[in-house]
Amino acid sequence: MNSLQLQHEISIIRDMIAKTRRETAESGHLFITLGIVWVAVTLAIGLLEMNAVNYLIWPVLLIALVLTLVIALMIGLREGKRERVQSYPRQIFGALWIAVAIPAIFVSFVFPMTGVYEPDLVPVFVSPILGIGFFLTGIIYESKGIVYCSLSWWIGTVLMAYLGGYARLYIMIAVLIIGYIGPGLILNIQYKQKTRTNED
Amino acid sequence: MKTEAILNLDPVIHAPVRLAVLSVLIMAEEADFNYLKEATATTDGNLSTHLNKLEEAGLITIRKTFRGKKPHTTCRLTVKGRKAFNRYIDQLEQIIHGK
Repeated sequence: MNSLQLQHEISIIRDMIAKTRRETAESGHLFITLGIVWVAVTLAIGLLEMNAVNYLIWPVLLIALVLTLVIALMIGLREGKRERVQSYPRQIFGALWIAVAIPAIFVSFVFPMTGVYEPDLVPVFVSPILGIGFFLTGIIYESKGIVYCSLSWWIGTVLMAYLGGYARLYIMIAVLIIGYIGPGLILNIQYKQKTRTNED
Repeated sequence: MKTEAILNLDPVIHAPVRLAVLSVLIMAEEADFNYLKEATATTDGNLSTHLNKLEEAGLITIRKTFRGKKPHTTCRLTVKGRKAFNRYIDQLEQIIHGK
């Protein structure tokens, strides 16, 4: 085997690894879209409270929940259709977010709607759960940026536990931007970098 | 030692298409036939031949199912395949470093 053959073998391995990494990369579209939806929903809830039309809060939240499920399903189906390569990180990522979504729905909707606790405590209880989801997403995709963003959920939980009223609302919006949209943007940048590397 | 390392290279892996297939599967849990065909830039027949050789050597498993009415073939690396690929990389390193 001469050095040219050796270089050719190494370039084959490198190319295939780069292509497959690109194919299994997470686009971040789901987090960006849902992050924007939930920032809008949180702002809407704040406005409804300010204008004392609290009876509309639950219908808005239920519409947001249905919208979240529809968006997750649509993006999941779209990305699933072109999924020709299955990787362990993607499988773990999918399982993790199912495991996070179920307790998040209980804590955000089922418990407050059935009177277990006051609805204004929802951000305090749901934030640690979402923090786990984003922290582990950062570990799965080896992104320190996502791990740092995920810390905002736990810092936010502590602040929201002790600060009530509109302060809680503003903190929740900040946490949604840093901890929800932030990881989505990081994943999207990584995804685009991998696409570019693959096209070069 | 370098010559010995070259002679020891696994002949099943030492073919561009088969090396490419194993390089994909080392990164993924499972890959479908169309993806492998596109990634390796080869024809259906050529890829099938190489996949069969890898399966006969016990390096991959091939699963044939149906997606709706269309046949769907997926490939997966076996434990033996993973070990063989890692050994192959070690041998390439030995050749590069002239050990």
